[in-house]
Amino acid sequence: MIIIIWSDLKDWYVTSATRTLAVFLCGLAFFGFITDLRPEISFQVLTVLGLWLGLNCGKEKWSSARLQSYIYNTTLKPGTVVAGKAVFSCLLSFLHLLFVLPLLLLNAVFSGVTWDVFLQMLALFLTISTLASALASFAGNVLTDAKDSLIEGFLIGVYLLCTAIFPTLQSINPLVEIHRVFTLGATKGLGSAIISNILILVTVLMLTWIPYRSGKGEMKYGQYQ
Amino acid sequence: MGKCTWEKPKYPRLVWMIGICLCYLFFCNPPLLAAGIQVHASLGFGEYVVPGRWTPLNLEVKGGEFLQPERLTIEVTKVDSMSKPGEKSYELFYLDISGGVLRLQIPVFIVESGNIIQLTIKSDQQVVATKKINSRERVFPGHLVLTSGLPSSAQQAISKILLPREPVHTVPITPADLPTHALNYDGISALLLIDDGPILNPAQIGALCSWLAGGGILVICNPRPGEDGLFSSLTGSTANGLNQTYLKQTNTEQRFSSSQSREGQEELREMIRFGFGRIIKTSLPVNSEEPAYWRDLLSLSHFEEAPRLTAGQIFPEDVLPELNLVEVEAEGKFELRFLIMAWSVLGFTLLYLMKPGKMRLHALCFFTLFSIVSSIPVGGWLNGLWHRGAPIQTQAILLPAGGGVIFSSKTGLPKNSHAWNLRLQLDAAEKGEINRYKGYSCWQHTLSTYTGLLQTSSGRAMTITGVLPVASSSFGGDFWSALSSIVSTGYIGVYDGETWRQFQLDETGQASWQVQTSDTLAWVSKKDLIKRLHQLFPDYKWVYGWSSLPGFHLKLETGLCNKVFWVTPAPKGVKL
Repeated sequence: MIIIIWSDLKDWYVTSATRTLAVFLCGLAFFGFITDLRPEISFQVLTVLGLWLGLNCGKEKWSSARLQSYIYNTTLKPGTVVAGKAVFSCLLSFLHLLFVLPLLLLNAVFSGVTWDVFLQMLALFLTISTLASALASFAGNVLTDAKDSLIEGFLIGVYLLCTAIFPTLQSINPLVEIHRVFTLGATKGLGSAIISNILILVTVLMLTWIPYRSGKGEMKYGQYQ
Repeated sequence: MGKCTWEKPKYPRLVWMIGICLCYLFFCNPPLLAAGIQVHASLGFGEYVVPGRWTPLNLEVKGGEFLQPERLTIEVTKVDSMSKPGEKSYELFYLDISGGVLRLQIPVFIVESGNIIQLTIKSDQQVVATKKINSRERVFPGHLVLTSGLPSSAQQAISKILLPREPVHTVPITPADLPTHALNYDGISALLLIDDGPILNPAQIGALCSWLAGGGILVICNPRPGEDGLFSSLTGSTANGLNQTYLKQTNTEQRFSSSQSREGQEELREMIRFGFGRIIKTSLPVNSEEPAYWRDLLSLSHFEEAPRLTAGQIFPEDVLPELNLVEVEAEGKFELRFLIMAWSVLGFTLLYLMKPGKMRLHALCFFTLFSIVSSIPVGGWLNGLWHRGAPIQTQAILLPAGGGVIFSSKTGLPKNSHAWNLRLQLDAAEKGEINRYKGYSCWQHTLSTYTGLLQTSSGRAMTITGVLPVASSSFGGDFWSALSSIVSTGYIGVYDGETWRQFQLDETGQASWQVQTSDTLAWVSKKDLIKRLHQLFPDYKWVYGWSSLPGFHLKLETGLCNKVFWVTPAPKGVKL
């Protein structure tokens, strides 16, 4: 698993780090600049950037190899590969978070956001970004088996849309939840949103792993090229 | 032989139930747990309160252990018709008690519609006692006169002096119970004392002098001569006696009169002006049953026509207007934007100018760590500049005759502010918070002496009112030099009822003031206050200014906000 994480991280750093970090930096700085660090805007922008990062990570654009490639061309177990990809995605989100943390800290101090809510916001970002990555990976490796497909974005779009439309699901929509926390002060739903994200993430990872669990070489969802 | 058996005694169920109930009461009832503390609370003088004025909340706390002092937390919550459900506003006081009896007089502001005062006393987070006082039950919208040592017949006579239009309420009081905080005198129109010598403590004298300077009437019956008298203790402590020039200017209307009383005794009466107030020394008769005598002595106007320079009258209950963020002065925004820009440009430069490699990795790590470590102090500094977009308005009345400074500071979070909370601190001993997410505002006093007290508050705003003492050395010269010793910098202007004039202090700090502009003075933010004062006291010219006051350190978040819009009456005869 460490090999997967390390090689993917190296590949990301060499090929795409400049671009992704710059997008995070510019996105947050721009909106922070024009809104005088309004916390709800900053964290919503952070979430959108996290979704974008997760999607690209799940599409494996910046990885040294795809999930299927690791499974079929190495001796690694499918479960290890799926977990390694998820950990890499989470680690990548964390690195981006670390890079823009000064602005977020400034935001918290500036607006008086309490530390418990601030930490929960960071956890929400990590889980939603990893979930986006897992959904994209599931769509790209299991549902379509295509390297570039619109379905990855479509899945996360459906997820966001459904959770925004239906009132009962709104508590797990990160953008709605951030709006609720910062404009209405309803901080109680944050924990359940994080837990829901983790549960969905585990489910998606399981769904990704199940087709490959019986062993290498058995092509269940089409031949890997 | 029958076998002797021992039978286990059985208690009836009732005994068990009573035992369980007693155990519950003992272990779960806080008042019983802290049975050592007894609290008696009352509001106002003689339990009467004047609406729209400050009034004392009298607390008598008994108990505690002799060996181990117990720290009690007194939580005073005011509920009025404006209070919103779900919002809580309270004030915290602390009291160390060790076996004796302690008396506290906490000034509380009673709004025109009346308040319900809820009092919760805690020891180690455990509730010891709770009290609820409804001020609406004992409201008296008229003159309250405190008397000490006067017979009841004289008190009854005083209560009739303004009849048939309005009654005057007299409340007998002992000198020991006289307020130690000037705000507690807010609803008092006159005080009559038999001169028992210099028995008042410095805090009581300070409070009395502030009240007098603002327009109170003190009658000293049977005055003792020289330093043994109450009068000398009053005038000697605040402004170094009546020989000080600034005080003297308000003291020109000294009046002596003598009259023949009904019993044939000659009455010597001396009236000394003390700021806006009067000290009347009379050599008896304190037992006069004639309302006319007291009417002549006190010269009380009808309640509605008797303005005084007191906190309740000059700074009445006021809700901070709903401000929009765009209306708030945007100090600190430039610094914030500059920092965001600098941070992003630096990060961008590192990302794009350095080639991917170890060097860039190290540089990025250093940049990130340095930014993280410095973001919290930098955020605190920015917060001090911008204090979360909250406006603060402090107004003050510099009382004449060294009576101190009555101030009123209002602050609150604007309507569309994104700030979660706002912290306020007055000196080191008093601080508070407005927390709009938890829906409360609180103000706490860590010492037993109070400077600023919570007047009105909500989940978004609060008003702190108080009285600051002025050093007696400030009143060593004429009006201008006395004024310049209190407010040495900033703008100064004069309003005479028609024109607004601005002056500037010259290098010598003396009378050579120069007119700079007229008519439009943008910095005069509180024209309404000055106009209102001029309407109340049309005989005076009002000197006003915008500057910091000595001894007034108000912090909003981490930034000092001690600029005050102050107003003071210019004594008659001062050249303006």
